[in-house]
Amino acid sequence: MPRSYPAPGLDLGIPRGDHAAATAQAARCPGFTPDDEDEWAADEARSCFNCRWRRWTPASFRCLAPTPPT
Amino acid sequence: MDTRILLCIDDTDDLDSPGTGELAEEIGAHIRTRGWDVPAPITRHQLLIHPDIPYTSHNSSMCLAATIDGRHYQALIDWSGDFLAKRSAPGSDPGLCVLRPDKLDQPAALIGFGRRAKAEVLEQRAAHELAAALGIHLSEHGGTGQGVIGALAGAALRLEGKDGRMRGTLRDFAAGTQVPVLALLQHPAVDEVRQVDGPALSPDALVMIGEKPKSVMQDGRFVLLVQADTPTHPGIWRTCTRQELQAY
Repeated sequence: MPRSYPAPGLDLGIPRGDHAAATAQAARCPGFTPDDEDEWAADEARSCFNCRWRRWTPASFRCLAPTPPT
Repeated sequence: MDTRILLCIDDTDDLDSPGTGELAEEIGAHIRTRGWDVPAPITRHQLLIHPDIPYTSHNSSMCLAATIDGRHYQALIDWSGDFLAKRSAPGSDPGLCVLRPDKLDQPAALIGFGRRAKAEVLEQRAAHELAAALGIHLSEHGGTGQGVIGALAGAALRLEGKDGRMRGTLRDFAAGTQVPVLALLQHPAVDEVRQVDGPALSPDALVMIGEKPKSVMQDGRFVLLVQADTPTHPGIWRTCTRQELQAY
């Protein structure tokens, strides 16, 4: 039987595909760190969708930044 | 004797370590130092995102195609396994898959596994059983070894040739320049330039290069997808953006 793994990190409430919200959040986030470019999902470089600390979920992502975003 | 291989790895990283693509690139570099050929880009294959799957952050695997001296097939597998054991992040669950497409008796069974890995939660045991039945190398190199699922699936999807996008970008072409299709086709990562929902472009058509263009795998070829750029450049095409390529 597969087992479920606890979802780590914070849900920032940004739906997958909401690029404006992900860009705005990343703009004010001190922990933003760009991921490997092959994993970028947004055209705007500074976006939660391109951050090393985002972990994709079926609905969107959770933030694993060591410093929680504001 | 030259032998074509597919080599795929998965689950080698954590949030702080070099990505799986970087390790695949290093394996490709090793293959080249042996004088063998890695003729096309590494491909990235997106697998299912699901709470029952213990991925690091995006659950994708990386696959490379190479042509090697077949007498060194096993030695390359051994080297790659050792490499993954040494270079994968502590706590990761690396898996390695290596196969010779010409030796596969039942490619459809393998391809079916790859497709399922994009839609279902699969078990490690199923991956090992299928690999053993098909004579495919599949090995674990640390942690739970769960990466064998993605490694086998990535190789399957690359074999089918309808999934994934190239690692890296078409760096030879500067953003903002207009390039004829004929010139784009000289690049090893571009076999065809095609409209997203339409036919291939003619060799004399012009394409406006956007930021970080990438080709994707379609019909076993590396295809540079383009869109009409009517508002700003009538009669000229433009490469797809990163957001437009997320489905691949």
